[in-house]
Amino acid sequence: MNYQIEPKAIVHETIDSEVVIVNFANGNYYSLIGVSAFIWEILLTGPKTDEEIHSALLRTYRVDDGTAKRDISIFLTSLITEGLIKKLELKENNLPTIHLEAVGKKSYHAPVIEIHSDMREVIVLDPVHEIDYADHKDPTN
Amino acid sequence: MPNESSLTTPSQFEINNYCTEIFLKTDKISTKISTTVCYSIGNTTANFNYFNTHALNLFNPSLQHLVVDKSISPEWAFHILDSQHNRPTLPTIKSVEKLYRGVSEYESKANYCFQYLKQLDTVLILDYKKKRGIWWSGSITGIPEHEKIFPLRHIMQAIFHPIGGTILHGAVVGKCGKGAFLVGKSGVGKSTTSIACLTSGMDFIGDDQILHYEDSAYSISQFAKLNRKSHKLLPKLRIAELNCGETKEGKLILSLFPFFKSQLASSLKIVTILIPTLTENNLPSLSPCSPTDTLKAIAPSSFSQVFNNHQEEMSRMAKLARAIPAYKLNITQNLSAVVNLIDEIINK
Repeated sequence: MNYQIEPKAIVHETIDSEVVIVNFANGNYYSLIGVSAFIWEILLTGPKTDEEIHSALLRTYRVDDGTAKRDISIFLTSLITEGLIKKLELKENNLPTIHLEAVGKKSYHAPVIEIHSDMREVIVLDPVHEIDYADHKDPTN
Repeated sequence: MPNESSLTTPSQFEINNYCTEIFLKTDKISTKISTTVCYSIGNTTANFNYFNTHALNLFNPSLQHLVVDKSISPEWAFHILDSQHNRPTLPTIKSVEKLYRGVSEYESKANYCFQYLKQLDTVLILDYKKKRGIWWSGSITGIPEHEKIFPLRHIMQAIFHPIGGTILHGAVVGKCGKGAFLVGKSGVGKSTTSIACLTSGMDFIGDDQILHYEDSAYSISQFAKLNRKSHKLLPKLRIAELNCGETKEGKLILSLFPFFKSQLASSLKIVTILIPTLTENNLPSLSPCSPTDTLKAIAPSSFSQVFNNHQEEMSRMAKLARAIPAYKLNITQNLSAVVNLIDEIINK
């Protein structure tokens, strides 16, 4: 399965290694720190498979294979639920499980998404951009 | 005119033709200009040619503090029209909608900016080469209240967005040319704090929306909004003389001009960002705030003011959050102490 950032309704910025995302569709804004920010930065480079994210995580963090796979699955699901990424169908690749030594790698924590919904009403108040062709007035009348 | 059956993005040639036609049509009715007022808009000046007194009476009150002498040759000129009281022949909505794809697609191309704001039923066209524009409304009496308090913001945004400016949600107060930018969601105390600063003698740019360009904040409106409960904390404020209405949420609308005329500044250089937080403490205090937390305080509520490319605006807000020292401002009901603390941090 391929995962891709959903660009239409979101804006994002990485500042001091923390990713701030605003979702105009649901009015939430989010923080991603550490491992979750790392995964987001990977996704910024283009559509990625679970395996690619998994490999990158194992290369960078001291984490075992099983934990990484489980946490990635949970995290990507939460990103999909929040409308921040989407799934693209891809042919399954049976890649071998990777065992990498934890030498010079960062300490690991499960990726989490911090959700803020206190500004929902303001964020979804968008004065422009979506045109409803069924509902308009002729200004010359 | 664009081919009605085509739904593809119009070519630059079509846009240029369309805008040229609109300008020719409005130039033909220039003799019907009712009143011209010259305003300071950001770091430039613009003539607003009002074609009827309805538009003048609706918008000029907010902008009175920005009026400049007519002898100054303004850089820009805008025609302000509406279909209720004027009858320029503008194209039908279908044509307008087909041309509209968002400013971000157009502003990098040639001369023109074209915006159709459906919710406001307004059209804005700018000619960047000749520095002129047309703001047209389908229903001027139907303009929402916040658009009357902060009128014509998208003219400011259309002028300044291509050169790095943006409209931000927040209050700015200061002195000696330097200002503090108070940011955060509604209800944290920005308006109360900024009006307390005003009544204590500080200069005031705005309590809700400002134009940010380069390193300065520029005023958009002389109106301020105040929670009724906050009035009790500001005994010096002569509400009866300043009050000119109420918002839908029940906030008082205060007209600060001409009572505070000398303190209504057109611009201040932003030297600090403050994020107010209400506390029960006796004395206010400051604690450093990270650029990330600063961005989270600025961005979410500022986007509703934005008519342009949101990602670009996000990057600009992030740049501001990185560049300017920011603090969490723990505010108390002792507003004099809060004002003193703001004064100190501005002068630091």
